[in-house]
Amino acid sequence: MQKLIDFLQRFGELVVFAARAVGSLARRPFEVRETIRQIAEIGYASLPLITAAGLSVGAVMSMHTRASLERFGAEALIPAALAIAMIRETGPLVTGLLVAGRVGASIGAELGAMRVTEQIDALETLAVDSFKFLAVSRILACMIALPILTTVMDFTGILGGFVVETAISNMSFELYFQQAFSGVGFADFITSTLKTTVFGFIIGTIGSFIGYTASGGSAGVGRASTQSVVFSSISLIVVNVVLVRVIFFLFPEMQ
Amino acid sequence: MTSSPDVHIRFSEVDKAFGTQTILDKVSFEVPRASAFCLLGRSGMGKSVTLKLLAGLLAPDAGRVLVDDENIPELSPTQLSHTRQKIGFLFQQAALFDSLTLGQNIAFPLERHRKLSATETREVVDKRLSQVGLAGNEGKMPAELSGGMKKRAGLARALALEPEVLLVDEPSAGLDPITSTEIDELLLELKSEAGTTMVVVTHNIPSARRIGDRLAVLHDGKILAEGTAAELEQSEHPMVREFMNSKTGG
Ligand SMILES: Nc1ncnc2c1ncn2[C@@H]1O[C@H](COP(=O)(O)OP(=O)(O)O)[C@@H](O)[C@H]1O
Ligand SMILES: [Mg+2]
Repeated sequence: MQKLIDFLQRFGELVVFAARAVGSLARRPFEVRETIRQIAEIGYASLPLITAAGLSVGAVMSMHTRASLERFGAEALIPAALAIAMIRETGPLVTGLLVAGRVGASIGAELGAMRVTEQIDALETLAVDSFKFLAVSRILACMIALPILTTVMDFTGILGGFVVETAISNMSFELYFQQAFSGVGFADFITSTLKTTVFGFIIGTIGSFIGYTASGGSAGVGRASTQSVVFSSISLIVVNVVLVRVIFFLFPEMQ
Repeated sequence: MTSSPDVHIRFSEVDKAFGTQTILDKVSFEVPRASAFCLLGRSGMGKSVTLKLLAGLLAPDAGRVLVDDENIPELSPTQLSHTRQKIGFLFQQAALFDSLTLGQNIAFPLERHRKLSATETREVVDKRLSQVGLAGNEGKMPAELSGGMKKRAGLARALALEPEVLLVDEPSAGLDPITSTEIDELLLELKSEAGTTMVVVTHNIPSARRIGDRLAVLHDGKILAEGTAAELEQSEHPMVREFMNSKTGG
């Protein structure tokens, strides 16, 4: 019972933290330099991971799609089926979860270490708004980086599918991509990719909140890192369900 | 209550508790401008908490924390940020930014708050580093430094904006006696030449005698005794006298 109360209290604090972050996103002073640094740290440095994962996921999905569609003699649909699956759902979700692992852990650990070694207090005594400097810059960087990383994941995924497909059926590059994009509307791409801005907000906010409120020395830093990954991954999966419902409601033609 | 013009810091009837643990129980003291107030006491008595209350890092449960007649807990974020530029803080564990080099640590407040050219910033950084005996170390990362070097670098960063108030948490902890004496001399010089007002937490009684105009012993939430070193030696509290007679630094 006490555990439930503690959890609800923490959750309430998280909501307040998130609301404060939303309120700060558009208010001066903007920590432009720090935000750009974080986009590089979070976005650019995740590119190898996202590219490798995209190629592999695309290749595997292509093999499965082929196995299913072959039975109905519908091999011609393979590129389109893969592209739709990748762009609508697999790309956004896999990117979100990979970033939640890589970036969520590092935000939780870095801010946690800064909290327990009083570096956050030191920022404050140097007349710097530590919330904006540390948390808001990271949240904003995640929100900007995720749609870009997702787009990279989508394309490398389709590319991975092409590699498998051309090895089996000798399909040409032009034909594959022409067929792949025949089934994908621009609305598909925009809605599913912009959705990941919300994923970025979740990852940045939960990581920052847990790190910012960490306590208890280096053990506390380890806990903060783990909790950031666990809670941002779970929240992301759950919120995704809601977002998909909302998108279908707003754009019924996508069903 | 109007304060005499030369009182720079006034801690008035301050209560502070964490949960059920009372740390400060109606604690009051005053620090005149351009003087040093040394806070003594055993570990865990709330000395660091007192400094954090002065810098607005913690909020008191009751009482007033006045710096320049401004009540720190009542300031708006903008006012607090403005006031904090006049307050330098040396943390007990130095709290250097560990992703930045020493030079970048000291340049950080200058880049945030002073419109200096890169060369001017470099000059200030060099000056501050040599003041604390760390000239030539600006490229080192905090992790490469000994505890005493971190402490001195933290002091250099606290001095970067030429604060009117300096809050110092155990400056000599982890320093050899010679460096410790040099830091004392630096603090004395800041007091007499720059007119800096300071609150210094220390376990080092010889150091407190050298730099402190007034000393106070914090114990179980109260200030047991306050006065000059000579006055505290004559205190009726055996614990205060024992404190004053300990020769070792800590
Ligand atoms: N942020 C905090 N939350 C809870 N307890 C704290 C906090 N800061 C300090 N304390 C407790 O307050 C007491 C006094 O701490 P401190 O001021 O650091 O002592 P010292 O006199 O050694 O500097 C200690 O028991 C410490 O555990
Ligand atoms: Mg202390």
